[in-house]
Amino acid sequence: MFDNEIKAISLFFFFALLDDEKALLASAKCSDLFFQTLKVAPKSIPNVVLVKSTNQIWQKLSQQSLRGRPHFATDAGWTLPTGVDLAPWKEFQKSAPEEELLAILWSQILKISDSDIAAALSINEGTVRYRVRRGLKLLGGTMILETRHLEPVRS
Amino acid sequence: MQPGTLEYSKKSERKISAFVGHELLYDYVTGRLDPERLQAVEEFLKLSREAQSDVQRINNGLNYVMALSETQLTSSVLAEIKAPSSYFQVLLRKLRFEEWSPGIKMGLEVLVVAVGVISACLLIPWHRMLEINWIGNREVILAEVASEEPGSRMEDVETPNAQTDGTEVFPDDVAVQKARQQSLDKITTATQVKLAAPVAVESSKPVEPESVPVKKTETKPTEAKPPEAKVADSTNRTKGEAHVGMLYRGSILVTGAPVVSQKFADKIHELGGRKAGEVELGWQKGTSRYFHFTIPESKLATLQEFAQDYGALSLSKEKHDRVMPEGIVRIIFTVDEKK
Repeated sequence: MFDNEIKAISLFFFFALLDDEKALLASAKCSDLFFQTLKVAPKSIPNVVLVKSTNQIWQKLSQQSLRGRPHFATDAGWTLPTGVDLAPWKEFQKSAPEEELLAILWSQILKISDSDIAAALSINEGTVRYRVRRGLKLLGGTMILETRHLEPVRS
Repeated sequence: MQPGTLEYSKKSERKISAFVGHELLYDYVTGRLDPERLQAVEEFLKLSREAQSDVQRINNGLNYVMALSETQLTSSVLAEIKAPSSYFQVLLRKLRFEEWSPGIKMGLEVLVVAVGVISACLLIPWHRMLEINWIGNREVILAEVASEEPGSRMEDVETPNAQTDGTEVFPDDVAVQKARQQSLDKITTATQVKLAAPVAVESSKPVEPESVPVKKTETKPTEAKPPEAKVADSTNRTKGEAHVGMLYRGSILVTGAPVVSQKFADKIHELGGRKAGEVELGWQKGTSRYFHFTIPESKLATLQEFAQDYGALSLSKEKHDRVMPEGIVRIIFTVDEKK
């Protein structure tokens, strides 16, 4: 039950924190909060509750300025798809504005609809799309930079 | 104007500004634009190289996050998240305890144990612990006698001897004196002699040495007692059992225990009291001063009155195996410093 939500929560904190230990702790806390909220308000939309819960835990964690210090083991329990390099995401996670980072996580990685994100954050859908667009643009730009950085020097 | 179309220019073209064009790029890439907007954005893209670059970036970003979203979690991670975690586990995780080197871990454990032991040593009230009488009675060990020969054993000499003048010789005195002499030759085993060793039966009749009751001995039977010693025969023991012995026990809290103890000792001597056992009256044991003596029963009240000047002497009368001569009482009390 709610395995997908737990998976989504753990993915959120893994990519948001890039620290497997802290991600585990935050995920455990967040899943507790998520289930408690659903227990209190069973008619709530799970995705909206998920966004609220992750946002609440993230706000607490972000006070500790955890970004930009990746720390995870290769056998931490998260398996990236073959051939995917995490370097662009590390750069993005380090430099992107918080709102855009979170928007990308919810909208593109957790596949939560813009309307649910907007409802959870009490903002317009347009604002959500705006943040996502800017985040994608920044991330795509980071990828181009990474690619250029890795290009062999031609004589 | 055809229904469903809007006329934005004289050529019926729907042009958009650069600002709006950029804002619509995400919707354009994700296919959320209506046909007219789509056409307008495409027209805009043809004219703007910056917008083309943005579209490329957005596409790159979308493809990348699409790949990231395929990240898989192992079941162990899910189980760990689901499992309720205690505060201690959370603390260990935060401290990354598993990543510490074994030396540091062991050092920390040793430190914790050492702190625990030291704390326990500091917090335990040792002085009170030492004062606790673990065996439940208040008898005081006054002498330890090492002896091997049966004659030196307390069991062999515990029969009390009442002197002709009415005073009493307690078995501890006899035992200690004999033991001292014999232990000089050879010391093999240690036997604890207690002050209040059982049975002190007075015998008024001289008894044949053969009738001396012999208690358990490991080697030889008891040697003959000195002829002048009065010993208890079986008849007298039966009589003694019928006549139950009594012992007064008590304690008193005073101010200035050393001085008061000396006064007590003087007063006891003055009243005709005699020390019983080996130690002197007022013998200091820890913070207490120990008085073990015999006194004429008629003087007991006088002694209690004397004690009232310094504190409340509470004496309790209890049964004891040792039977005292008529008119003589045996008293044990301690004098402690009032806190």
